[in-house]
Amino acid sequence: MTPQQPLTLEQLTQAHNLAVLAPELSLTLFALAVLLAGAFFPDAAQRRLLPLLALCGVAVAAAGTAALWNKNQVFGPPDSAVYVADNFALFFKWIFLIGLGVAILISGRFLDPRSGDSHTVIGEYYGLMMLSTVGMMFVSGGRDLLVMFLGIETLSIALYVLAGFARRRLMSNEAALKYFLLGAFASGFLLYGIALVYYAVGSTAFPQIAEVVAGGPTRSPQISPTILYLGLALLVIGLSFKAALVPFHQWTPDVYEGAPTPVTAFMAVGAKAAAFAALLRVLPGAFGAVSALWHPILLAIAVLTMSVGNIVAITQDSLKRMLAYSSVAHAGYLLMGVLAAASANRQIPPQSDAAQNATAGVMFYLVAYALMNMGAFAILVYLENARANNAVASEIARTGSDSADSEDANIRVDELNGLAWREPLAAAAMTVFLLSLAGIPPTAGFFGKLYIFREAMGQGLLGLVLVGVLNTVISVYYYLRPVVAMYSQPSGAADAPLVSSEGALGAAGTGAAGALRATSFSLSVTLAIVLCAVAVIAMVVLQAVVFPWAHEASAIQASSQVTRL
Amino acid sequence: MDLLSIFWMVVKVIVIFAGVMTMVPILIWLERKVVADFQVRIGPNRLGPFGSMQPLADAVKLMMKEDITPAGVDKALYFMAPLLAMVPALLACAVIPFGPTPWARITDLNHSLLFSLALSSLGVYAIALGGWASNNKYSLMGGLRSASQMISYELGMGLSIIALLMVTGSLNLREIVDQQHLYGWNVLRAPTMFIAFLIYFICGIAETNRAPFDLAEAETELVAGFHTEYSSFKFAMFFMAEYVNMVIISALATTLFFGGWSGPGVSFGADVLQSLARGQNIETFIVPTLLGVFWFVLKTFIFLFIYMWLRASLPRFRYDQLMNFGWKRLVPISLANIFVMGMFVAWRSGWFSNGGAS
Amino acid sequence: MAGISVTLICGGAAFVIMDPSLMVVVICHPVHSALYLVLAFLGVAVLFLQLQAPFLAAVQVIVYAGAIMVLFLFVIMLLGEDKPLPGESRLGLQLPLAVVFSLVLAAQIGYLLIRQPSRGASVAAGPVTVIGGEEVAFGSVKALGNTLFTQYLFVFEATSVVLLIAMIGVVVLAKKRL
Repeated sequence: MTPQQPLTLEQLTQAHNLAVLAPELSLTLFALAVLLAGAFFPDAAQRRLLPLLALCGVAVAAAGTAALWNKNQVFGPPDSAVYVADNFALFFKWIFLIGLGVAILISGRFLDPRSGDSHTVIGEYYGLMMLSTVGMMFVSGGRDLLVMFLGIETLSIALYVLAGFARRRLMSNEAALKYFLLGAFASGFLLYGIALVYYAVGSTAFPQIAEVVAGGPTRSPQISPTILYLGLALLVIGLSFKAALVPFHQWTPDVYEGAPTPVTAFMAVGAKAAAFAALLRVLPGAFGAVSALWHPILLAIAVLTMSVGNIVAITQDSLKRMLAYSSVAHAGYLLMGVLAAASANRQIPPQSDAAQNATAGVMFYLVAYALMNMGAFAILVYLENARANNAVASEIARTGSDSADSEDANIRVDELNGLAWREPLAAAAMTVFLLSLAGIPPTAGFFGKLYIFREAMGQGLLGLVLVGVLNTVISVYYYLRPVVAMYSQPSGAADAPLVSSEGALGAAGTGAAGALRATSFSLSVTLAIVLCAVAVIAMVVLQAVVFPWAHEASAIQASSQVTRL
Repeated sequence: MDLLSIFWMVVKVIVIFAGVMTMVPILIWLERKVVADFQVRIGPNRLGPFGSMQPLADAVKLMMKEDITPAGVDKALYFMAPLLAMVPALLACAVIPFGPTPWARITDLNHSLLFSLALSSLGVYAIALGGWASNNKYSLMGGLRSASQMISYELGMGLSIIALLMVTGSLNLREIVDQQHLYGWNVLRAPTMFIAFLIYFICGIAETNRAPFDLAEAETELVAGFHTEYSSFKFAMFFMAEYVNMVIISALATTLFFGGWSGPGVSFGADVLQSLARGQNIETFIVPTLLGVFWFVLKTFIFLFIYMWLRASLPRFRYDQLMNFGWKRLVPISLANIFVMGMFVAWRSGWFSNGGAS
Repeated sequence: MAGISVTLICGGAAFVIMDPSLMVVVICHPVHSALYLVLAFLGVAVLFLQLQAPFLAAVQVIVYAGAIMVLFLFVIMLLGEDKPLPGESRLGLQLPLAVVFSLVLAAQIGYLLIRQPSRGASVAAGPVTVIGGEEVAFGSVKALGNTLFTQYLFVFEATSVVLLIAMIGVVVLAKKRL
C-alpha cells in the first residue's frame, strides 16, 4: 500500500545481506547435502554418514547463530525488512538447534531396516527434520505476519510427513493424517486472520501493525475495529493450535502417540517453541496496544490449558500420551509468561523491564523444556530400542526370520516396573527428567517455573499463579508414577518386560554384527540422554548465565513495542 | 460506450468468430489433401473443385446423425464437455491482433497473453470431463491421458513464453506485435529465441492433442479416446474445437515470434490510430488493415501446414516417452533458455559493463 | 452508472463464489464438488480483476483452475469414487451441532458489526505504486514484481523451501517402493 521508494540494484544487494541468514542457509545447504547423499550412497554408509552430516549442519548453524549474536541485523531494506536476526530470534534458533541435535542423536534405531520399511529414506528423514528447523527459524525471525505464516507452514508440512514416516504402522498413518487435516484447518484460520488484520491495518509488518493498532485501532475510522478483533481472534486460534493450547489441543495426544518417538520429541520441542516465538511477537509485540481485549481470553485459555493438560495426564497409561498431555500443560505455564509480559506493558507507565523479564522467563522456560522433554523422549527411545531388540531376538530365535513388527504398542507405565534394577542409569536419568518436568527444585524445570511465576506474581496475576501452583502439585502425581514404578515395583516377568539389549541379543546368538549395530545406535541415544540429564542438572548453575542471555535477547523484543497512547 | 461502438464491436466479434470457424472446414479439407499427397494418394476429389466441398458434406452428415446418449452417463457433464471444449478455444480469438488497426482485433487487454494462456489451460476440462462423463473405460483413460499431457506441456509452454517476455517486457499481444513491427521479428531478436519458439510450438502441438502427441485418441489402444461415446453434433463440437485450438496455437506463434500482421506494405498501427483520432479519412487504412490480415493469415497457415506435415511424417509417441520428453527434456531446456535469455537481457541493458549496477 | 456496474459485477462474482462454495460442501458427488470449486475459483478470478489485479486473476485461473483442480479431478476419477458418498449418515450428531455453532458465531459477528458498523473504506481509483518515477497500477505485473523482489524477497525465496519439503514429503509418503 505504501508508496515504494525505488531502490537501485546496489542498494538492493546491500540491503539483502546473505550473512544475516547464515543459520538458515547453512542448515538448508546441509539438508540438501544430506538429501543428495541419501540418494547416492549405499544404505550402510548412509546410516553412518548422514547423522554425522546432519550434526555438522547443526554445529555450523549454531556457530552462525553465535556469530550474529548482538549484531542485530536485518535482511532487506532497513526500514521495511520483513526478516530480522535480533537476539530474540537467535536465542530461539539455539532452542530449535538443541531440539534438532538431540532428535538426530536419538533417531538411529528408528531408521533401522528391521524397524520398518524406511530403510532407503534415511536422507529424507534427516533432510525433512533439518528443513523443518529452518521453518522454525523463519518463524522466530519473521517481523511480518507473512513470514510467520510461511515459517509455520514450512515447519508444519515437514512435521506432517515426519509424523507419518513409519508407513507400515497404522498409528503413524493416523497421526500424519490427523495432524495434516487439523493443521491445514488451523492454517486456514491463521491465514484468514492475517487477511482481516491486513484489511483493518493496511500492513502485515509487526511494527506497522503496532503503530496503527496503538493509534487507531484501525487504519481509518471508517473501518470497524470488529474486523481487527476478528482477525486477531483467528490469529490466536491458529497459533493456539500450533502451540497445542486447550481447546485446540485435541490433536496432540494422538499425534504424539502415533508419530515415531524421535519425531514426537522433535515436534514437542521445536513446534512449541516456534509457536511461542510467534505468540510473543504477535501478542505482546504487535497487538500489545489492545491487550485489554485479548488478555482475559488468553487468561482463560492458560487456566484451561494447565488444568486440562495436567488432569487428563493423570489417567494416561501410555508414557507417550502422558508426555503429550504434559506438553499441553507446559504450554499453559508458558502462556502465563506471555500474559505477564503483556500485563507489564499495560501498566501506566509501561514497565518495560518487567515485560522483558517475563519474556525472558518464557524463553528460559523453553530452554529448560527443550532439555527435559528431549531427555524424557530419549529415554523412551532407549526403552523402545531395547524392547525392539528383544523382540527381534526372540523372533529370530523362534522363526529364524528377521522381520520385527512389534513397535505398534507404546511403552506403558507399568512396563517400567523394576527398571531401576535392570537399567539403573536410564532409570536415574528418567527420574531427573520427570522431576524437572514437575518442577522439583534442583533442576532446570524448577527455575523455569520460578521465573515465570515470579513475573506473573509481580504483575498481580495472583489467581493465575495460584492455578499454576495447584497444577504443579497435580502434575507431581503423574510425573512420580513412573518413578515409583521404576524404583519400587517388582518387575513382572510375565508381561514381556524390557530386558537389556545386550542380554537379549546375546541370547539370540545370531549375528554379532546386529548386536554391534544395536549397541552403536544406543551409544548415540545414551549420549543424548547423558547430555540432556547433565544439562538439566547443570542448569542449577547455568541458569545464572542462560537467564541473562534470555534477558538480553528479550530486550530487542520489548523495546520494539510501541507503548500505549 | 455508445450504441454505435457496441454495434461495431458486435460486428467485429461476428466477423472474427465466423472467420475462425470457416477456417475449420478449410483446414479439414487441406489436411486431407496434404496428408493424401504425402501418401501419394489423391484424397477427397468428388464434391466440388478438388473435393473442396467434402467437409461441408461431412458436416451435414454429422448433424443428421442420431445423437446418442449412452446409458449411465453423467448427463449434465456429458452435455457440457463439448461446450467447454469450444468456448475457451473461441474466446482466445478475442485478444489476438489480426491486423494493425482496432478493426482487426476484438479487444486490447493489458494482459492479453495471460488471458489466452488462462483460456488454454481451461481446455483441459472438456477432455477430462468428456472422458469421465461418458462412463466408458477407454474414454476415461483417454481423457486422463490427455489431461495429464496438457498439464505437463503447459509448463514447458509457459516457460518458453517467459523467455520471450524477458525480451519484450510486455504481456500485451498488441504491444508485442507493435514492437516487432519496429524492431524485427522476435525470433531474431535474441540468440536463443528460436529454441523458445521450438519449445512453444512443440508444446502447442501437445496441447492440441495432435500427432505425434495424439495419445488420447490412439485408436489401437483406446478406440477413439475421450470422444468414443460422442456422436452427431457433440462429436462435431469436439472436432471443431481441436481445429480452432490449432488455429489459435498457430496464430499465437505468429503473433509472439514471427511478427504477427507485420509484413511488407503494412503501415505501423500507432500512426493509424493517431490519424483516426484526428478524424482523417478512414478509407485510407482499409488497405493496410487488409494487407496486415493477409500476412497474418499467411503466416498462420504456414504453421498449420507444419501441423499436417508432422502428422503425416511422425509416428505416435508412447506414453512414458511423452512424459519423459516433456518433463526431462523440454522443461530443463526451457529453464536453461530462460537463464541464457536473462543473461542476454542483462548484457543488453549494460549490467556487465559497469560493475553490475544498472 | 459505473458504480452500478461495479456493484453488479462484484455482487455477481460474490454469488459465483458463495454459491459454488456452498455446493462444494453440500453436494455428495466428489466430481461435481470439485467442479463447483473450479467455478468458485473463477469467481475469485473475477474479483481479482475487479480489484485491478489482472495478473493475479490470470494466475488464479491458470494455476488453480487450470492445473491444481485438474489434478484433483484426476485423483478422484482414478480412484473411481464416482458413487455419491454416504452423506448425512456419517455425520450423526456433528451436523446439528455444527449448525448451532455456526449460527451462534454468525450472530456474534453480526452483533459486533451492527454495534460498530463498518462503513467500508471505498477505494475510488486503484492505488498507485511509484516505481522509478513511473506510476504503476497497484495490481500490475510490474508493481507485483517490484514488491516480490524487494520488500518480500525473503518470503519469495523462502517459499522454495516449503515447496521442496512438500515434494519430498509426497515422495516419501506416497511412493510404493522406496
